[in-house]
Amino acid sequence: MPERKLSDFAHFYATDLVKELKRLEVVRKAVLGRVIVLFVVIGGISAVAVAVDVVWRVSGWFIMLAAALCFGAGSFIYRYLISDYVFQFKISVISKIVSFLDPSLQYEPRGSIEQWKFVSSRIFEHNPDRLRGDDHVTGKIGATQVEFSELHAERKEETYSSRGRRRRWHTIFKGLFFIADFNKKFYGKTVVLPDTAEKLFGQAGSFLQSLNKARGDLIKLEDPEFEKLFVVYGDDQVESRYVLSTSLMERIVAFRKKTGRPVYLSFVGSQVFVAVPYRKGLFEPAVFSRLTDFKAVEGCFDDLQLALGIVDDLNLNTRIWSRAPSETQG
Amino acid sequence: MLMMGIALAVIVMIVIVIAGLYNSLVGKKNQVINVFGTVDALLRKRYDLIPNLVATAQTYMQYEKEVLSKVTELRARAISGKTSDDEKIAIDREISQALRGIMVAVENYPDLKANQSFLQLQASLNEVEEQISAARRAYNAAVTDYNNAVEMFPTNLMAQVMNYQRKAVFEIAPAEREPVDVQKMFKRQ
Repeated sequence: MPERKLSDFAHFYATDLVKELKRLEVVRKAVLGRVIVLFVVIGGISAVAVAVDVVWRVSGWFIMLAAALCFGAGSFIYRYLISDYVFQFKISVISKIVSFLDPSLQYEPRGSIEQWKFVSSRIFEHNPDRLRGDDHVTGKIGATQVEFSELHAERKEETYSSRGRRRRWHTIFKGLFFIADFNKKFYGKTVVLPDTAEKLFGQAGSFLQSLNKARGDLIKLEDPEFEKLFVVYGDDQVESRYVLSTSLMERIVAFRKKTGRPVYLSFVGSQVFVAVPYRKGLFEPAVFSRLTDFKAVEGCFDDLQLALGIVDDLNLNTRIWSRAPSETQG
Repeated sequence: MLMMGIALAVIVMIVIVIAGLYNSLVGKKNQVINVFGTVDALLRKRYDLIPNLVATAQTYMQYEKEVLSKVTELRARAISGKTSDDEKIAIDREISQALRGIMVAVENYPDLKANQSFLQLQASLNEVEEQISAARRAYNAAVTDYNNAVEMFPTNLMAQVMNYQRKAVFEIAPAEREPVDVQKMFKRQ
């Protein structure tokens, strides 16, 4: 992968992207017009509902129901209104940024990482009942096969009460999910999770962590900085250390600092899985601000760069162990 | 009656606590033994690679005969079965140093560097080295856990009764910390 700096991207933006963005800016303005109409309509309905409540003093849940309906229908229609614009942005802008970063990569705006891969990572304890995702990038960086996409995994919770069945969705994970071939061969699993217990309870936290047997053995590692940020569970004390060499631990700490977010990793089936949670949707165009601003696409560049940089950050292209480049699939 | 009940409860409690302390110490000691077994198995795996490595390297490395025969001799001593754990660790240290020297010297032999079976051996050796280093770290973690139990209250009281002593961790030999001095290692003719 050629090294791409922000200044290179700024140049690419000025020479290539700006034309596309100008064209899309026209589309955005049209979409924004429709979105504003939608907001006005919803605002009107809300006002009527409030008026009905004030005049006839209907019960409280009428207002609640009206609000929920308005919100549900509003967000559905909103998503419908912008969907075409979002897709155009992905096809003409994100795909260009991806091939600018590495021309050999494939980008599929509506594709995503399959559910079985997400489950096989063993990072999250709950299996998702619903998994949605987009922006699927696949390809090879050096000797390493990679893929990533945005994912939103949810589980369903159904409760029964006198008022009937209630279904609620809980988010398991939302953000960037990355998979790559690991440069060493191993058989068990090793899961690296953000450390919450030890941060809160110190030594006692470490004891609590060791009780979580469903995850496997607690692996206590010797790098204090790494231990402060992460907790590691694995099937095998020696193999987990074989995977998490001292240099890889340092690299993971550096990566965690670079992202400034909690980072989840797992090593299963000679692959590494990295999950970085994001609140915002990834690789989406701005609707309410000008698209032609550099800032509007800079975020997308940063997020893609972060995902593709994992190969270098974790030094996955170093193939001096059993896993020679020819052994990897792809 | 009540007094007897209380006395019995206290005795049962004490027995449970003692059993808990005893079991946790034995568990930690066995963990150390278990991981040392892994270290030992991996060292043996490395010894198994040495004859092939020497055979392949010998044909190309005319100037390195001395170090190659030294490695062979060390290996023979290591697998003779008469060595104690401490000796094993000492021999391992010497072999590590010699092997690293060979790998650096390979740079001077382009033919050897291009030899397919040598490259495979080199990859296997890298692999075993990495596994050995992981096993050593696992051993040190197990020993630290055990040593903490031996010295910390209340397990230290039980450890004294059981006559458990502190165990030593694997230390990196001073030579391993320094960069390899090839000139010194192979007295060039």
